[in-house]
Amino acid sequence: MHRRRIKARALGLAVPLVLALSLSACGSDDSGKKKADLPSANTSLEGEFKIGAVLPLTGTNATIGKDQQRGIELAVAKINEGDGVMGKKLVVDIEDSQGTADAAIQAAKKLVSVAQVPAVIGEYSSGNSIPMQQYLESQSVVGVNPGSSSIELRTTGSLQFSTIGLDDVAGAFTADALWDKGYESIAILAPNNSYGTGIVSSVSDAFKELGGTVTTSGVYTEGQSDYRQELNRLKDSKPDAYVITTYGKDGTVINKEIYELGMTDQPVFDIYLSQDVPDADPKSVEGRIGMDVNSTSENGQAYADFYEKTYGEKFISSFNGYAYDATMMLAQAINKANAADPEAIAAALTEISKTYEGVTGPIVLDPDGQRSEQPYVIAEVKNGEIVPQ
Amino acid sequence: MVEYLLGVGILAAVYAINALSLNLQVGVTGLLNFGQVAFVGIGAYSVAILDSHDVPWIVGFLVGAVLAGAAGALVGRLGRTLASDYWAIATLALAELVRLVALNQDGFTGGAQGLSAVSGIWTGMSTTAREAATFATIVVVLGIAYLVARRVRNGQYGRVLVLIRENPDLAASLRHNVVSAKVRVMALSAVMASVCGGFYAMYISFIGPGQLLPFATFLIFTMVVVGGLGNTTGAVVGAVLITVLYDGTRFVRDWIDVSADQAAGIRILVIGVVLLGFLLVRTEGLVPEKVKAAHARR
Amino acid sequence: MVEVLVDTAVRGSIIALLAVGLTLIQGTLRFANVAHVEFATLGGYSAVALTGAGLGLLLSSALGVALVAVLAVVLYRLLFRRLLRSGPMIALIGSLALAIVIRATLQLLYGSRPRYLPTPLERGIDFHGALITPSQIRLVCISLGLLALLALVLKFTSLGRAVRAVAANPELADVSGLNRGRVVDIVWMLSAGLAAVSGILLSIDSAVGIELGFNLLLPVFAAAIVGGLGSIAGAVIAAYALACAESLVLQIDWGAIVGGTHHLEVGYRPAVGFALLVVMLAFRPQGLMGRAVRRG
Repeated sequence: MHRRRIKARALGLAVPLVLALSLSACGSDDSGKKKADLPSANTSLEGEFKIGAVLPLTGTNATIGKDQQRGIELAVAKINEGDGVMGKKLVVDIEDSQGTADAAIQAAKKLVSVAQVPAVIGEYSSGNSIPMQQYLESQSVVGVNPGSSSIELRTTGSLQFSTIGLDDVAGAFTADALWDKGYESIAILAPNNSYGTGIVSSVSDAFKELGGTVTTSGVYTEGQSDYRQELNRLKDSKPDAYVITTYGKDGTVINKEIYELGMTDQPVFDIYLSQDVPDADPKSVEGRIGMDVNSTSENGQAYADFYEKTYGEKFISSFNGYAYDATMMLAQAINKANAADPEAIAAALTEISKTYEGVTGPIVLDPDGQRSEQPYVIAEVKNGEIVPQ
Repeated sequence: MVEYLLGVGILAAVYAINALSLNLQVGVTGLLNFGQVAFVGIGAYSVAILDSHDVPWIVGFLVGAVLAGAAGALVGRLGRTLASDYWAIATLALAELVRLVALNQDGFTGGAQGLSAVSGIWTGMSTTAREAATFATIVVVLGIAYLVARRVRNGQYGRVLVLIRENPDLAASLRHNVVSAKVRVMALSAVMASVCGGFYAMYISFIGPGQLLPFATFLIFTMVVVGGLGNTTGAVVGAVLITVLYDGTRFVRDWIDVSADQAAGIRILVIGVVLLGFLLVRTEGLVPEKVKAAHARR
Repeated sequence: MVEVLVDTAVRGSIIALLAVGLTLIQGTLRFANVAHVEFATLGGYSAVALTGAGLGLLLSSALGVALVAVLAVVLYRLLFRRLLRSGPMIALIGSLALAIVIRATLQLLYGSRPRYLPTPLERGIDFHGALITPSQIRLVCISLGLLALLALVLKFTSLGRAVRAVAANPELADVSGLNRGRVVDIVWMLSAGLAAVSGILLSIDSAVGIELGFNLLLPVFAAAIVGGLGSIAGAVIAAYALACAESLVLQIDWGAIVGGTHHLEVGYRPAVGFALLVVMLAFRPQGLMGRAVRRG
């Protein structure tokens, strides 16, 4: 009897715990609960034309993944408001990569073999985009990378493309910017993945070329709760400026600790400022300088307004634009090829890119299928917002 | 669609080899190996690294098997004095060490980037035919692994292993060489796991440290427990069922309206609940081990 | 070198609070609870939930700890007791399954993004060249205070004597008229409560994510095993020693051995705990102070 009473009492206490946990979760789940107000589709479109996308909707880059998803949603709405794709309604089947390479490949497999799409957009991390594009190439399916910048993406195959400039372009720009600001020595920290190691070497090489010194460069393992060891190594090397590139939940912790360790007394320069700031405590990144892609073309402004009107907030990262452009370019290429044939779509992509004016600027694809130029900008965080300098 | 089903079939067969291996350790001998994924990783990385240097895949499998076998024997020796739960924690730690090395030795393992573009088998064929041929090949290998596992389980050696699980003191007093028996079963299982890893890397065309996370081991535990600890057929049954369940829940977002984050949570939750449910309600699994009654239970 | 000291104090305190609980459960039930570290994660999330509902940080933390302690007893009674009846091996696999279920449930409810407790961002205070934030000072003080309190309770109260009696010899404790069930309940509450405190302190210092507890699993087991299972003092000493070793390994210039200047990649930090664990289990399974964990 006694035992049963304890059980009942314990249960009585456990129920509120579960309730408390779930209640607060309901209140704070922001994953697309607010239905976006998108233009409705042209009613004369008949049937569906499917392409695929693999994005990091969960895992450490979930924020970026959701923003990429928004870019695709906006593009699809725009396309279906007009003439659609080959007279049909464009549908983008979006799969979750969970932020890991094997899940990304599995998701691509599902898209290729079940939905049988001729083209797949994705991913965000180079470490996932590279094996995924290699898989797509082996299946003769077009791949368009809207977010990864590792130079290894040049070699993934003839049906593989990027709508974002790769690290060699970004690294040189960053080094120039640092040198122009008068810093003679820098210390670099980047994530331990192919993006991070790529950007470390491209910035270091370009900066040394200009005559500067790299006091230390390190990579951090993603997903830790503490990065003080890594940051202390940067601090102890006493450079003129710290150069960091981080994103997602790691970025939040790193920015907090940069502030706590007093590193913000010196210049901290962010590579891709906007992939870092949205997740950080505003106080920790106030006054931060950095480089980012320039999306202030005329086209870009109209798109920014469209985004803000639809989602009720400004860009949460700069990556939605590339996903938008990737979708738009694919739609145009399919229309030009007038077939669901990957080879024809790939040929059409290169062709239309010669005159394509995207929301992230002109996207001219080089013979490797990579974006050959990319407008960048130096920006600063003022009152929690990123403003170009 | 046929290709997708073949893909699930291939995964199930690859996992079944792994489950047979883990069943020999956990089910038959009572060795709780929480670091099974390390053996898989050794096999997968051997094949992938050698493939990137254009070495024929069969060499990669052999190198992987030798390395994994040696690692298995070492781990088996480490287990000679430990109570089973501490040995389990030690294997988990060793597997994490292997993962850290894979993550940080980027010159060798590709680091966090992993190794991609691992060429598969039957590269000359067209897509569907190739998937079918790959499936057939792996099923044949699974068949061999099954026969080996059954022979071990049902032979004299298997009875010694079960005795070690049920009553190690009695096994020792009957003058069985307990340490040597454990070392041998660990080495054999590690070789099987490395073969599974080799096929996995070739089929997915990629191996990275992300695949060496402890959850991978946990998935195989679920297969073995659901199938029935100690039963060779059960391991295969469990592997097929859990693969279908785990891969099938990939479609969960096509059925119900949940965010991707929630869908990912649901997939893991389903596996966890199934394992916990079986442990609580049907500990013996779907295909129970038969000879248990012959020995005194602990 | 002062950096090492600060590092050791902070990380050691977190590990110690968890290792002590693990060792207590091991002592009373002879069972390695892999799900123990998940109580830390649960603690962090329940504090997030309660502050989200509008309660103050202190009240939320206290309530969160209490809720986790109660949940632990419920889990023990509904789950672990049943699992333990099927033997320690099944219980061990079961605790691993429970850990996965807890993590998946939290991901389902909260998503994979980390959550933060509403604490102000603070600049570190210069302490002989190393920076330590006020919240870290509080973290170390609270941990040390609780550990001292626990030691006093176990040493001088009748409850403590009962716990030690059960740990030393469960059957004898039964015969001598102790209510073993009640003692075990209290041990679960105590250890889960301490784990929750550790999780909340860590959440305040950085953030709470699904992997918070899991990332601590091996260091905590290493501390408990190195300390000698069942030994509270051993676990605490081993926790700080482990944290110190982790920090030192990265500070040392290995150039003296391999030539040039060579610092170990920071990514290898967790390897220190793993290696220590494996070496310890291979050569001195009874730990620094405490009983053997050898079979037989």
